Amino acid sequence: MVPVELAGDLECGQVAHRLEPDELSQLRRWLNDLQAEDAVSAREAAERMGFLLDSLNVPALGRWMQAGMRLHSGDVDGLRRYFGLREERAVHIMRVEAGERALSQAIPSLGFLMTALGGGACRVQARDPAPLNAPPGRPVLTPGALLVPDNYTALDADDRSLLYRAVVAHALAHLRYSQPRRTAAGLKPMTVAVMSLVEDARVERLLMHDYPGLRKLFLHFLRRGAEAPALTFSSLAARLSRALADPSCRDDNYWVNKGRVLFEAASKDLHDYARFREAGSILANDLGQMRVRFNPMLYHVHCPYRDDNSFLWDFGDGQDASKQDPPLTVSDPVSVSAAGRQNPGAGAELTVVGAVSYPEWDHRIELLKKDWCTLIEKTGAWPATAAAEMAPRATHRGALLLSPRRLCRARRIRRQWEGEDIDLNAAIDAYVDRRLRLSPEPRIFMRPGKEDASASLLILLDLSASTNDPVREGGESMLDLEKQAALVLADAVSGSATRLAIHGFSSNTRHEINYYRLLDFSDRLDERRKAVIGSVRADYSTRMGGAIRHAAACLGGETTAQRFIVVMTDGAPSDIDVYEPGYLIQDARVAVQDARKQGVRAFCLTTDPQATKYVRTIFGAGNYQILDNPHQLCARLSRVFARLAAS
Amino acid sequence: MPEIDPYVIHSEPYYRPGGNEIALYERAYALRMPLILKGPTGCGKTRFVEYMAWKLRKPLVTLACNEDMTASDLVGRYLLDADGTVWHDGPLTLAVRHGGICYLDEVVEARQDTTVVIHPLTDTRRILPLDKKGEVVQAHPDFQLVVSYNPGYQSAAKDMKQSTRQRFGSLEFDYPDEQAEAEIVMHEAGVDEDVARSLVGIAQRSRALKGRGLDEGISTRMLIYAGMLIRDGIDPVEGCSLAMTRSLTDDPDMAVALDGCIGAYFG
Repeated sequence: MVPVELAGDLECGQVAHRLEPDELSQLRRWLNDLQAEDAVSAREAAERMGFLLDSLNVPALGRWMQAGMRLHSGDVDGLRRYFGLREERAVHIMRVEAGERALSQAIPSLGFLMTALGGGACRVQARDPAPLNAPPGRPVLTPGALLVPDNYTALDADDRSLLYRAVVAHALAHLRYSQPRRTAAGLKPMTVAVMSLVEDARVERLLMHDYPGLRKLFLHFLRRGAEAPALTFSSLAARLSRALADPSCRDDNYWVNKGRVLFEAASKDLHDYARFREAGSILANDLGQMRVRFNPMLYHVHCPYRDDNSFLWDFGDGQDASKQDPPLTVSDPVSVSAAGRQNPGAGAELTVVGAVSYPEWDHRIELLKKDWCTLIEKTGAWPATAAAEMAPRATHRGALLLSPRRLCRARRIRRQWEGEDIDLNAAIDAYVDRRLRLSPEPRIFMRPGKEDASASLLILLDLSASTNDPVREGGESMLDLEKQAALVLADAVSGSATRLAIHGFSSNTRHEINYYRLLDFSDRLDERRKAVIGSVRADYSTRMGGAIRHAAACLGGETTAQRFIVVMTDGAPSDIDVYEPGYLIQDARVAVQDARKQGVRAFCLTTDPQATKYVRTIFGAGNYQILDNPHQLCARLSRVFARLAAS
Repeated sequence: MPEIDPYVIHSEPYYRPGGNEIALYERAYALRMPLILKGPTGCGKTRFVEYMAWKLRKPLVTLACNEDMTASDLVGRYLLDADGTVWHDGPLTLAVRHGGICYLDEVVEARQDTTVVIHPLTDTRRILPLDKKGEVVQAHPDFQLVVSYNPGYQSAAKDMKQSTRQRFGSLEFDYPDEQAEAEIVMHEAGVDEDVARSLVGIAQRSRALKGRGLDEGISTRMLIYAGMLIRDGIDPVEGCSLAMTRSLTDDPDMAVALDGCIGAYFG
């Protein structure tokens, strides 16, 4: 037996420098999966890893390996030919996979398609990835969600976008025309499989009445599986499926033809489920008498776009969605506010206002883990201590507010002495006056005006423990500087068209992201607020993604033209329950992107000299500044704001 | 009335009523009540006004409004020629003098200070003061003002003043129902019923995405363009892509989804 580490060791030296750590570990897992099938093939693949990665990215490489393992399942020689690239098919599949997009990129369009075709309440999501040597995945349908497997390969479809389209269409057929969760009690597994097949054909035919173009799409996939005539269950099922979808197709098998006749007889009324169920029952019975073997453990629906039919049946295993624990979410993000925040600073205690669940992006599996983090919003004031007593000074060196005004071509200033355009009306008036021998008005130009940029700015303070460290020996801490900068800007914009809020966050594992609304958009910056902000103390870690999501949700209620989050921090996202350095960075990146989709731009001011490694990944080019001197924070914040608002 | 002659509509425009809007309009015209036509783009507002102008045998003066439009673009201005300064009536003044229907398309695009010139025309005074010329034009008894706008995508910043709004009666338009829309597409594009029904089906699917990624669904006008391409021998999928999806959205995900809808009918 070859040692388990062998495959991993083999590729490390060659390609390790080209891959991110998580990609490398992913690759190792795959090679180990392959090694479990055949160690020589794993070695062949590992030796060619450099070549393979020249034309395939890591997810595509996974799909290519998966296709090989399915193609030659149980055939060691075939596997060795495939992974040694001594087979034409291997190269062909490589080309196909190189041109395919990842499922996660296709999901948004599938969601739109589902809504457009009339399945509005059903979300489309990617299924959790399975190991490479797992059997081919099939979509899973529930009344509220369609889970699309992430392990389709070139064996299932040459053009995956067509396959995804068929997946959505088939799911829609069930949602429209199938009654979910009929009891399967007393039915044999083979009977359930055949009845499901007949039901698939019935609902597809109903849907094809509404969408005639789908016939071609479904048949494209049904024909693929029905080529090899054999007397196995999967071959017969594939041929029957094709025959039911395509009445013009001829099949020489008695059972398949009988199925077709029964189906066509029943299809005079496609809504009469009982007749189709009876036909399915007869067909299953025939198969039993023909001694066709059926292994429920290995069975999967043969056609890649059809779901696993768990939608149709209730197997009595007690998986009732309504009995599940209620979700953690207490209320929606924006309404977590009112009651508790009415009276800040009244008591010297922090009180919990509410909790909201947020998803978190796991870049290793490319999945947004739903309700993964709990954000707890707190209010009140921190207990006074000597250090926190130091009220931030509201006037500070270098704080210069550039009034954010911007050019507005919609606003034209007419009748000017000079300008970039002639004001036609004024010019004509001038000429008319000259003809009428009046003294003409010489102001005949027009130029674009300026308008006050109406913007909402949310300053998000990093309140993690590290900000307590003094930036210079015995001097102010990063936290003090953050507070000062925020307060100076808040003072400067009060009374202008700009709306400003100061929020802060820290985290203590995913179960506790603390979020503080120190000053909200509607609050006036009075002495009491300043005292609360002065009393803020820092603790715990920096789980940035959840905080950015909540900040973006808070900005969702703002109606100004421009909305920004400015994060002030001193280090990379981190938390004590996350060991992988890239994880929280990628999550924060996705949170920033999601915010941008909601029209909220996120910007970062960081004092971490190492920030070049990650801050661009999170916030994108041009959306961050790294400060060498933390004392510049105040001046930079004002300047950044003026720049953002004028952009 | 030579000046207004080019604005007379001589042949009957095709219009398929969706309700009793024709009767309502006729009653409103009898009272010379100014009207707002509201509705999504490409649903037939302009065609309706053309049809009514033809039916009532009145000239129709149409003006597409925009942000840079000034009051003089509506009422007219002095211009110069070889003999000196000459006053030129604007489209609104033309219709007011000669008794036409003045149709201001997308009226909210014009700035609010421009549209106030219509105020004295749209109450019992029915006058149009030309302050530069020092003339007050009393509206011809046949004159009527009609404006249109699309309440869907205009931002809150672009809205009509209440003082303007409340001078008008309103007719609300929407896309026709499935049967009617298919008939319209068949008539206007010259395609058979199957194609027309498929096109209408695609449009209805896209309208389900309004507000969930699309600002507007596919309009009847787009369907007619697509239908014409198909009639002229273009492959339906390509025709729909040219006339509908690519114009409707720039979002690649949305375009893929719409292609899926087209595939569901013309696959």
